[in-house]
Parts: sequence; structure tokens; C-alpha cells
Amino acid sequence: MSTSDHRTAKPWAPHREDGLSLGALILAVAVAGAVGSVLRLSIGAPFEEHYMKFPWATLMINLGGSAALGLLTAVAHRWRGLPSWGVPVLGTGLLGSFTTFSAVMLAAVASQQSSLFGAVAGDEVIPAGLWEMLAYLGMGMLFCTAAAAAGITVGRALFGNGDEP
Amino acid sequence: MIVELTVPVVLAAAAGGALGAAARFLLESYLRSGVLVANVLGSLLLGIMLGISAVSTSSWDAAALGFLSVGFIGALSTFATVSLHAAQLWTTRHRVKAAALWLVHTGCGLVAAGGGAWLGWTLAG
Repeated sequence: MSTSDHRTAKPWAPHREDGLSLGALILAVAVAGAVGSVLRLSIGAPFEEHYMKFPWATLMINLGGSAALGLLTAVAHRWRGLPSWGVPVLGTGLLGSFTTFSAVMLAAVASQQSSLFGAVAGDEVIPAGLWEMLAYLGMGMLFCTAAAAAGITVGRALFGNGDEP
Repeated sequence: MIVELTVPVVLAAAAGGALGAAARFLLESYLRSGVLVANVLGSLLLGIMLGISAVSTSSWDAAALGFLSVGFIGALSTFATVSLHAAQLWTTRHRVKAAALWLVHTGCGLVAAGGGAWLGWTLAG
């Protein structure tokens, strides 16, 4: 394995000779995206986030997805058995769609505007103040980054060959 | 914009999610900042939807809401890729870049979400 390891965000090329054709790859990513979205919906919906100040269920989903993507990335760099479509389909398709960004941004914006908040939340919810919301956002970014780093570490430990700390 | 867990909503979310994931994959493959574009676009679109529902008296069709908000927009925007990239930057000692990555995403995302909400609000109201 190369020493440039985890530095590139895109370890695959759009046209890769040893894998699926681009059309088949896009189709596979789309199917994985459908699965990821349905997983997010079925895990998130029972928590009824509209009764919460912050989308906590989405944060949990993002934490889990970030950790899993870190793990996948490390495994992909260490384990030759993973096919070349593994990272685009499971990473970009499944985990990319499982986790979401827009819902977090909208929750933050809505909390600062009462009529918008009324469109997302139940009547009994008190919206978070500006600093409280910024703290939630910062926490989300920090923890999800840590989760991804933890995933990379676990993947290296499981599939590593001891050439790196 | 409360999504209920019914069969039509789940099927709609799957269809929208497939489209959103394919769109993000293409953006990521061909643009250097494809993930940022996907996240900003997702925040903008969801902002427009929220702005419309804040002033509109009629509510969204459940399947349309599932297709657009949970499916397409939810899958178009992503958190895990940004977390991973930030973690890779942080662990390779590019710590300022890691923080900047998140600040750019959140800053642009908040502006897009707020701008979208205002746009939807103005258009529908």
C-alpha cells in the first residue's frame, strides 16, 4: 500500500479499468443512496425530532455514519480484498446518504426565527438561543470528526500490517 | 414539515435518495469542491421548502415531502465525507485546514439555508 494513505478524499477515479463501468457504478451508488436514505428515515423518524431543540437523532446518525466511513476508508487502504467499487458505493452512496448536512443547517437557522421554527417544531418546544445553537453545531462537527478519526484508527488496528503507528 | 413513516413515504424517500446520491457522486467525482456544492445546494433547497411551509397554509403531500426532504436533499447533502476529510487533515497535522473545512461548510450551509428560507418565504408569501 502507498504511503500517501488517507490523505486523498477521493481514492477512486471516475473511470477505473478494473471495476464497474461508470454507468453501472452510478447505478450502484444510487441504489446504495436509496438504502442509506431509508435507513436514516427509519432510524430517525421514531425519535420525533420536531419535539427537540436540536436534531439529536440526526446527530447520532451522523456520528455513526462518520465512524463507519472512517473504518471503511482505513479498510479500503489496507485490505486488497475490497473491490474497487467498495468505497464509492458503500462510502459515497450508502454512508454519504445515510448522514445528512442540510437538516442540521435548517434546524440551526429555524431556531433563530420563530415563524420558521413553527414550521419544524412542536408548539411546546422552546428554540435554542444563538450561542446554545452554535455550541450544538460545534459539538456536532467536533464529535463527528472524532468519530471518523476513531473509525480510521479501528480500521488500521484490525487490518493494519504494523507499518504505521 | 413532519415526515411520517408510511410505505409511500419510505418508497419516495428511497427514490429521492437514489437521485440525491447519484447527483452527489457526480459532483464529487468531477468537481474539486463537489461535496461543498452538494451541501450548499441541499441547504438552499431545504431552506426554500421550509420558507414556503412557514407561510403557506396548505401542507406538503407526505410522499412529495419524503421524496424531496428526506430523499433527494437528505442524500445530496452529507456529513460523513466532511467528517472524514476533516479527520484526515487533523491527523496529518493540517489542523487549521481541518477547522477551516468545517467553518466553510457550516458558514456556507447556514447562509444557504437562511437565504433559501427567505427566498421560499418571499416567493410563497
